[in-house]
Amino acid sequence: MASKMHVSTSKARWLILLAAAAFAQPALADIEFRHALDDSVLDLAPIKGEEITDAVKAFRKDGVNPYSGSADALAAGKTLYEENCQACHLEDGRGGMGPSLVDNVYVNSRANTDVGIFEIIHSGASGAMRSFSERGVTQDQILKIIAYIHSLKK
Amino acid sequence: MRMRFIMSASILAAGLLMTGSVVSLAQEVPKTADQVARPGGKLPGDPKIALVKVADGFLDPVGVASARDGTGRIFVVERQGKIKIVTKDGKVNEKPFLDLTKNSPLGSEVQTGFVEQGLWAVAFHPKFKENGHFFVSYASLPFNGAHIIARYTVDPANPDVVSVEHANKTVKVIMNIPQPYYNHYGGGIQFGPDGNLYIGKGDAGWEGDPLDAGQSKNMLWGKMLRINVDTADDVAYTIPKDNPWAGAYQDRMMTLFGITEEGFSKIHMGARGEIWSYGLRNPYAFHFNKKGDLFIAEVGQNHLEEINWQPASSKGGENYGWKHNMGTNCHPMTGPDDKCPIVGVLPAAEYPHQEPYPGAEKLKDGWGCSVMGLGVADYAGLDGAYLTGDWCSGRVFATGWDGSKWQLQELAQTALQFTAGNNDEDGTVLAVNCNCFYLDDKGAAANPPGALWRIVPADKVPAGAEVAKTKK
Ligand code: HEC
Repeated sequence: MASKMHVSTSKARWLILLAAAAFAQPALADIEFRHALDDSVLDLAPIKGEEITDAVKAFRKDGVNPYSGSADALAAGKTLYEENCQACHLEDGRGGMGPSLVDNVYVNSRANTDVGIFEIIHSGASGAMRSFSERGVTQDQILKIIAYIHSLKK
Repeated sequence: MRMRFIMSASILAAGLLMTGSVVSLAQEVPKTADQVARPGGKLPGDPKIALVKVADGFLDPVGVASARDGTGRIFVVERQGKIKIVTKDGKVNEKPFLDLTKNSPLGSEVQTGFVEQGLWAVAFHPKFKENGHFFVSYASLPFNGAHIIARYTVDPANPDVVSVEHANKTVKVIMNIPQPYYNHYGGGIQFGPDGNLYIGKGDAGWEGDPLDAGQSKNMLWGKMLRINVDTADDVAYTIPKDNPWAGAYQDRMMTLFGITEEGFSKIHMGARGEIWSYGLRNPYAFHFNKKGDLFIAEVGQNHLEEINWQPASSKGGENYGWKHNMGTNCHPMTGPDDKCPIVGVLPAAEYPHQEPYPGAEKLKDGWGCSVMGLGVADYAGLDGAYLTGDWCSGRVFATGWDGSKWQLQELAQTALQFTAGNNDEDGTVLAVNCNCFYLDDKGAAANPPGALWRIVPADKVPAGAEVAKTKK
């Protein structure tokens, strides 16, 4: 999903990509992260004080979450989930005000992939699902949250 | 005979040509549940809109209004207790127009502890240009969360900033309505075409209307209120004589005989004269169209949102049914096949929450959780439809009459948490969004900022304008 191969040849999109590539570090431009609502290209510039970690760099390259299954990351992810997500998705992810994160029903088309989940947590989806990057959550933290969400599925 | 038949047929044909569809029917309040519009409807011409950003950087904007004084200024209400001016060219004045966070040496005038509390609305007197009066509606900190409606007056020498000193010198308290719980205040205020001030008053909170406020005419809660504020300085307000229960609570001699049952039915001891209509849960925002029809965005409880329409010819007194019904639903709702009488009048439109009834499968489309009235759109082919934005799902719905029935059309699904809207002086619908939902409220001055938007026809987006993201 959402890899460079997948890019349409439309001129407009190509131009956007070129522009994005011109500003991003070339090594980081491998996966195209797009907004869940309108597919516009996401701005993944670090927020204040954020360091782009090796885990994030790797994830941007191949869409594979290096934190999957790591005990330390899951513990950190659990805390972050409880602080930021639990209110709407409930403690076990079964969904409340927001949809379930542990079933096979997806409101947003890419929410069945880690890249899609990353896009939604980073930049928001509809209405009450806000951009957590605007709320100070770093990309490294987002990966830990994603790892934790997957651990809830079992 | 034959001649006459041909004549009437051609008149009918002409009628068809003029309306472009089947014979039009006069717009009316739905009489049966199947006449209430629901998501999936289409307005004639399938209108398309875009939201264009006017300005941003507002802290929890929850209200917006034009002074209709020809200056082109837009007044954005920040929940924390400030009103900011956006100038004609889209700049936000640094100094607030009104700042209730500083008007007391003890700190703020405004209670913002819960996300439904704060400064909600500003309404400018119809003669604002001459008298400088404007009205605000908020939860008061010194009065422990009571709902206050107060009038302030602009200093003609300083039209863009009502200083703390000037505010405190000119303030006149119109109403102080006690509030037992921290939610369901309502809060919206608007001048009607009749010059009276209308107030959307919530059922005062908790859930399920534990005070039975909606149906009790001896309480101001759970109502639309209508008062006259053009009074002497020492009179806060008066009750318009034509309010439905204006005289119902007059002490009188008791007469038992020679009175009709209809006559008896007009006696409502204890009824509050301020009431215009009742049976409402949380009418935060409402708007009049040019004809004087009233649309009320009535925020629902667990399963349904409702949009009411009251024709200009109404004499008031409508019962919108809460807490017996929410829209066409029974309350309390227990399942998909609940049966109950419909109390009072039906809404023009309604839309479900993600879980339309307890235990229902979650919807993927057409849902929301809190309807915010934005304004009446007489452009973009919307032909007087009422626009609402949902606080949770970011959906913009239009409620309109298609010539024979009500339609509810989804115009856009955005990423915005809508909080309020209003018509600008030229009729354009303005909307504001916050980043301040219940479950992630960090405080009125600490949430990521929100923005002010203008709703325009999709093909009239100015070059270079920032447009709100919408789902494809
Ligand atoms: C204020 C409520 C709220 C909070 C807090 C919240 N969400 Fe959501 N979330 C929602 C809503 C509502 C949706 C549905 C959005 C839509 O329809 O596009 C959603 C959608 C999602 C989706 C996409 C699901 C799908 O099926 O498409 C993911 C993934 C998600 N949220 C993860 C999170 C995570 C992780 C957090 C914490 C960092 C979080 N959410 C915090 C309300 C919330």
